[in-house]
Amino acid sequence: MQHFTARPLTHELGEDPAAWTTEPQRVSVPVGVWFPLAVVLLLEAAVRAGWIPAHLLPAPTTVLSTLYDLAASGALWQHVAASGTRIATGFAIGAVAGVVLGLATGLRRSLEAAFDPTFQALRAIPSLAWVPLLLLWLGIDEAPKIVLIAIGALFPVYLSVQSGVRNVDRKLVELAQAFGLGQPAIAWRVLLPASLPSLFTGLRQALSLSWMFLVAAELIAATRGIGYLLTDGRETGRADVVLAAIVVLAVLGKLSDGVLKFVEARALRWRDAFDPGAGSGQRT
Amino acid sequence: MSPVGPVIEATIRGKSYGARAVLENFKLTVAPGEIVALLGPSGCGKSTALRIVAGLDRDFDGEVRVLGQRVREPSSAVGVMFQEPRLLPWLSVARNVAFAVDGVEGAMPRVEALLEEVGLAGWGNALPRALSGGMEQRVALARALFREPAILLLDEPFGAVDALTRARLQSLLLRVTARHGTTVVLVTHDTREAVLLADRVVVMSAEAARRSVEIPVPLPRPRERLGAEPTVLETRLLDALGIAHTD
Ligand SMILES: Nc1ncnc2c1ncn2[C@@H]1O[C@H](COP(=O)(O)OP(=O)(O)OP(=O)(O)O)[C@@H](O)[C@H]1O
Ligand SMILES: [Mg+2]
Repeated sequence: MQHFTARPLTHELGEDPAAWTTEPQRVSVPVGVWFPLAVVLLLEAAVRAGWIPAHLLPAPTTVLSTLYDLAASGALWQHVAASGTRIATGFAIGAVAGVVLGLATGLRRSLEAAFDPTFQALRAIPSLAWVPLLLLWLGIDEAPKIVLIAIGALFPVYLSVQSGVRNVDRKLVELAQAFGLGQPAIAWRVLLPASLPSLFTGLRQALSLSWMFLVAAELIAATRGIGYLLTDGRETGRADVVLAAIVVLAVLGKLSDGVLKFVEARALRWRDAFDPGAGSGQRT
Repeated sequence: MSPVGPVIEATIRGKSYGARAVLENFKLTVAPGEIVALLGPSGCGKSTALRIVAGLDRDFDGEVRVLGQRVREPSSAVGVMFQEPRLLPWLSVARNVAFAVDGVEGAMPRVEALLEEVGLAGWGNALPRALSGGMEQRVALARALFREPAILLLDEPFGAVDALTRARLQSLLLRVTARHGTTVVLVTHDTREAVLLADRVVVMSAEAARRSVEIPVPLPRPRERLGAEPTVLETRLLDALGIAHTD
């Protein structure tokens, strides 16, 4: 389009003299990598030198080789699959319930008055307090773990959807009314999309809580899963297994959050929000 | 309802926000196919009156009839364009224009024709965040015209565009309304625009209790942009506004 060709040439060449050199650009390593890298190297050296007892804090290379063995034997994948299934099921149930309840109480003051105090009270219960009850009611199978994760995921989603709906611009709702949309159409076509940014914030909080509750559930009663791996490592005195499980949890947590972040970025592409990284006049 | 009866009969005895009276004894009667301009100082209640006629505000003392029916909720016979564009930021320009129907697919030819008419051909897939203020306003105009409503309520529809675009949009509005015999109530701050477009101008005063003044515009169409008569009428409008200001 013509207004793009009208850009001044300096834009391509740039004011930065470095852009004029013919040398290839150096591969840039994020600055955030240096600190943990230094810590890991230091640890390795300290353990090898015998300053730290290896049975308490094994060297990073030992943890890596334990991880490798776990993966090679196939045990790691069984644990990951077990935990992943629990997370996915519990998170999905909790999130859907949170969206439905958040929408209902967000849309109707009467429903909010009737149910919100109860939810707030339930939310105040530390979720681990549910564990004994869930075990009593549901046995030690998958059900109590999934329900616990769902409880954890429910409240952040519920709160974010409710406040998202309440913060929608009144003028957009009025526009929809002017076009003759009824209540359900307004909820679906205006309130829900407008509260998507808030919903995603809640979903990401819910996901990290889900991981927390997963580990809690698996620590207490499980024969498979990464939480079980943690318990098993402790009982057999294998600090390397415990650390390997922690590394797996970190990777999985980061990975699942990354997926959600990706979906969020795609779903909210329409947003025209403040981006501290963007330079003046540059939009992506 | 007789066929020649008024399309809009609004009697607003009182409208207030909290303790503040905004409108008092405001009457507006509009005949079929008539174009009425509402003129008045900022904050005098023009947008409020328009929202009441549109059925969006029922918290007032009085009665509004549109096409002989008492207004209780927004009617599909009425197209509204608000003072702000109010585009839905998550919908493409085309989907915003076709907001009256859910899903743009069948409506695409009509949407494209409208976008072309408001000078935005090819912008259908853009998101509102990529538009300038004037472009947003034109999308909002296209959206108001989309359903070809019998009645159009326009709140400062051309406030954010340049003089040339404004002239083009004004003639677009006159063309569309003449073609369909549309009845129009148009809020404007521009006396020139009022004289060019309206059959009648209602000049509202800053104080709620004062009567509004009605000034007919008996000029033939198409109207000259800079004739002698429009300037005389404009002077009368400015006088009316001035009288409304002082005292
Ligand atoms: N939601 C509201 N709550 C309280 N007061 C309001 C509200 N909306 C409008 N008002 C008041 O009502 C008066 C009339 O507002 P309105 O928007 O109708 O003015 P207007 O004539 O359209 O002005 P402008 O030309 O600036 O758009 C104003 O004084 C404003 O302060
Ligand atoms: Mg206004």
